[in-house]
This record gives sequence, structure tokens and C-alpha cells, in this order.
Amino acid sequence: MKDKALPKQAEEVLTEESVKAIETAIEEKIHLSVEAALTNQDELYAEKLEELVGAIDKDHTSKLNRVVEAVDVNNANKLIHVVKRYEKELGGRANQFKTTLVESISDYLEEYINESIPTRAIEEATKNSTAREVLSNLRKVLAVDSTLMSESVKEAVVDGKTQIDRLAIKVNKLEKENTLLKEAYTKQRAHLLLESKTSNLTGRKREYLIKILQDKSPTFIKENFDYTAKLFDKKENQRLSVIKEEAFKTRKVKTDAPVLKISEKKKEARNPYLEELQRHHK
Amino acid sequence: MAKQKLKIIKFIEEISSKNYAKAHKYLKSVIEDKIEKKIHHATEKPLF
Repeated sequence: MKDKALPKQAEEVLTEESVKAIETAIEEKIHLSVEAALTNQDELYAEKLEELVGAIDKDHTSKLNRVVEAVDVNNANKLIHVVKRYEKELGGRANQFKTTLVESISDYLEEYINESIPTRAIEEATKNSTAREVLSNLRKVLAVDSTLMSESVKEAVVDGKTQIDRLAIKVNKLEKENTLLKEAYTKQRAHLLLESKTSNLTGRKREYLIKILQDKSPTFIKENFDYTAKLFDKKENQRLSVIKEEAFKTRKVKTDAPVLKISEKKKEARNPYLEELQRHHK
Repeated sequence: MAKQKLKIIKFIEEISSKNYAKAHKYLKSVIEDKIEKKIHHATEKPLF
């Protein structure tokens, strides 16, 4: 192979040893070049691999972050649901259960007490106790002790009680009669007083005063008679002045008409308002 | 009645926390209240 590789001139010039030396040198050179190339390649690949690993890491990190966020949100929502449900259960059904339980226990205890201590027994006991208390109070009121509890004393006490009751009824009856008599007497006195005071008065005034004062007491009549009479006079004057004005306004005949003077006198006499006025002024 | 219910609630609470002495106290008080109520009801009725 070597023979074919080298030309004849080189074979003549180069000895076997020098050829070997050249071969070794060339091989070393090739080896070094290959090593250098491999080192370069390694470095290049290492850089690329680092970049690749970095990119993959970044990608995985972002994906994992998203996954963690999604899981967090999901879990948070579930927890919110759990909390709401818990609150609902605690506020509604738990309270209802509590109330029911308390009522059941209360009812059970009541039933148990009813069975153990019957209501009738309690009522009887309270009645006995109340009766004893009433009896003791009666003894105190009537001053009855064991020495006075004989039959004769009992009879006397009963008789006394009957008499007292009878007299009380009589007193009540007399009091009622007395009240009625007093009322009638007061009415009569008032009536007489009113009659005496109004006997010298005219019709309308008398009627008015009797109407106003007829149900009043004699003292009231004494105190208020003059005021009432004055009030009537005042009202009457007012009424008459009003009637007078109306009569003057509504009259048909004028005072300065000479022809109607004769008939004016006749009409004046016929007019009841003017008659009343004239009578009053006189 | 509200007072009795409160005592029953306390009784249940004490039973739940195994404090039997206090639970006994509350139960006794509830029963006393109930009997007292019955007696009071009976005394309100007139003797005659």
C-alpha cells in the first residue's frame, strides 16, 4: 500500500525510516486536528445543549406554574363551596336540629315528671296547704283558739256572724234609701228656689232660665241665676236689634212718600216685628 | 320557658364536654323549674 502511495522519486529519496517518521508525524498531526475538532464540536454541542435545557426548563416552569394556578383556583372554589355549605348547614339545619332536640328533651322531662308526680297529687297537696293557711288566717281573725272551739262558743260565733250579716244588709238598705231621699229633697229645694226666683219674670225669660237651671243644685242656682238672666237679656237685645235692622231693610214704604203716610201707619200696626220693637222700646 | 330551654342547651353542652357535674346541676334546675311551674299552676286554682 505504501509503495503504491509514494511516487518512485520519493521512494528513492526517502528511506524507510524517514517515511515512517513522516507517517508518524502526519498521524500525530491528524490526531491533534481530530481532537481539536472534537473538542470544538463538544463545546458547540455543550452550548447548544445548555440552551436547549434552559428552554425546556423555562417551558416546563411556565407550564407547571399554570398547572399550579389552575389547581389552586379549583381547590379554592371547592373550599368556598365547602365553607358555604358548612355555614348553611350550621345556620339552618343545625339550629333546627338544636331546637328540636331541646324541645324533645323538654317534652320528655315534662312527661317523666307527670308520670312520677301526678298533677292531681300536686293539686291536692296545694289545696291542703292553702286550706290550712286559710283556716289559720280565719282563726287569727276570729281569735279562735283550741279553748274556744267548743260547741257553745261555735254557736255564739255563728249567731254573732248571722246578726252582723243581717245588720250589714239593713245598713246597706238604709243607706240607699237615705241617698234617694237626699236626692229628692235637693231636687225639690232646687225646684222651689227656681220657682221663687222666676215667678216675677216674663214668659220667654222664665222659660229660658227654667230650661237652663232645672237640673242644677240649689247652690248652683243661687250662684248662677243672675249671670244666666243677664246673659239672656244680652242675647235678647242682640236678637231684637237684628230683627229691627231686617225690618228696616225689607220695608216697602219710604218715609218721604206723602201719599202712603196714611197707609204707613196701618202697615206699621200690622208689622209684627215693628210691634215687638215698639213694645220693647216702651 | 326560654330560661328552661337555655338550661337544657347548657345541659347538652356540658354532657358533650363530659362535665357531668355541671350537666347534673342544669338538669336538676330544669326539673325543679318544671315542678315549680306545676305547683304554681295548681295554687292559682281557687280553693272553693
